[in-house]
Amino acid sequence: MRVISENEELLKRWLRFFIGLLILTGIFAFFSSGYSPPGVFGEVLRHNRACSIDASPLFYSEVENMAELEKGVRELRIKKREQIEKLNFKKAGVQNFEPLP
Amino acid sequence: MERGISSLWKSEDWWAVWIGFIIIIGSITKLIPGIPKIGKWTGDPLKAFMIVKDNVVTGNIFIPLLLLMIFLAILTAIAIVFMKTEKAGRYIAGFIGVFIIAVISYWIANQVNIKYWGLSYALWALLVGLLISNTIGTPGWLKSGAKTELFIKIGLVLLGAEILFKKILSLGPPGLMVAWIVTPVVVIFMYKFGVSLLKMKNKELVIIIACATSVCGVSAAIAAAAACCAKKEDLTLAVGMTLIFTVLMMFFMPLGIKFMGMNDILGAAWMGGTIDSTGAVVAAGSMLGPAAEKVAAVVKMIQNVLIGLLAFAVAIYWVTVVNREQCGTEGKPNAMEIWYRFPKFVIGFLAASLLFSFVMVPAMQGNFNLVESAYINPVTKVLRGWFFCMAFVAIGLESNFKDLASRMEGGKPLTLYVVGQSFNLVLTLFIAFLAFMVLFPGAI
Repeated sequence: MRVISENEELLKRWLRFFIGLLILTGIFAFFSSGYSPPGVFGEVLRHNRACSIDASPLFYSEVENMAELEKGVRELRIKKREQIEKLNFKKAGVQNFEPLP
Repeated sequence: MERGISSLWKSEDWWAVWIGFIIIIGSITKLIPGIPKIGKWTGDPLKAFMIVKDNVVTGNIFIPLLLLMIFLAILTAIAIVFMKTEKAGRYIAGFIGVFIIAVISYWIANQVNIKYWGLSYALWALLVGLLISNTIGTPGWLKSGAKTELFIKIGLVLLGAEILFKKILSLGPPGLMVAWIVTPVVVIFMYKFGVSLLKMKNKELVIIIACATSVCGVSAAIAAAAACCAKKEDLTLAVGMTLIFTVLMMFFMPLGIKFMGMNDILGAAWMGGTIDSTGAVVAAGSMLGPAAEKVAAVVKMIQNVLIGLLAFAVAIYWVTVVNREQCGTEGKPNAMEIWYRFPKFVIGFLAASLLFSFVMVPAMQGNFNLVESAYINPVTKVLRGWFFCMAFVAIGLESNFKDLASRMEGGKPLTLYVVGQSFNLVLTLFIAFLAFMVLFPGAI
């Protein structure tokens, strides 16, 4: 009698496992299908797909193009500094502007 | 708790430092040339295991993965033998099981469409682990290999190598203002709010949620949890919340910023300071344009650097205040007691960061990229990912839904997250406006 109930318990556990596995597979199938919510809700997802942006990195070093992004910020800062210097030179009446090193 | 000199070879904390530094030295000396990682795939699942160069398959990573498993099993088994927490054979059998589940989790997470959603390996590792533990139950032999704390601590020592202090100056004073003024204020606010107003009894859960919300989501949650010796279920709960809210914020923040007609750079700094994980920040920033993408990512990067100091501060606060309150001890602890109780892996974490920031980078003429591409990216970063992934598998294998439900305290953790994140949003926007628009309008 006891053996039967142990077997039943084991069967129940495995049944629960397979149901869980089915649910997990369903979640995986949904997210991996390429579906994106309609309208504005799916805008970011469609953008990620169009530009191949990996949104999963947890830490900055996991972002594949982090070095490019950092370089981009440096360039933006230099450009902005040059713009400001140019403006200041213009205000001071200097004609031949050479950006500071 | 091991005291005295024997703790150097008997405590988990010290073993995390030794193993972390064996890997770091192996990386610097090129004794460990590279670590295999699961690749991206779209329709063909096997592509994740292929080595592709110039669109041509040149081999596969099955043998390297097997070697990696053996290498990690032996390396960690040495620690297990010295610590006498498990029989080596039993541990290795369990470790193999945990490693295989970690491979499956990485494989799921690396499907390209899943990456677009921002669902990382941490989530899948947790889910697979939870599925096993809450249905058939985790078998004893598998539990023997689920050494969550050891994996987390080794992973954190390796993470230290990725934290290069000089990067905090990448965006000048405004970047520093957004990332470094707001973050500690939000952590303190959330801790006080959780403990004093919400009256949450589980202080560890409060600080994990506070750190995850204010710094960088999952990574900060792991660091804070290890620093205050939190329970696995606390970390599971905090990570679950941060992963869900990160996706929601990635979806809705750029839309809101566009709708309000906010300045792109201000919006980027706002998202960089508030969205928890870096990948989601890059995706959301990119919605506003190329310049915004760069600024958002760099603000987040500057904030990421705080993780080491945060872990140190949490560890000190727990040793000197919280643990003593819990034990009912009065008076100030002496230096020796602080030292005994202090989680030593934090020393390894900070030492790795200092080594790479102030020795390796200057040795490479200040070239961050060279250090990253030579030592960090091929070895320490990949191994850190494996250790974290195995840690999340182990957490899942040892957690059950009943325990998780009991930690909800009537929804208080959720209230803490929502209120804290709202405060974070308001304060970050104010400071970003002040920094980028008023005080340093010419910075970018």
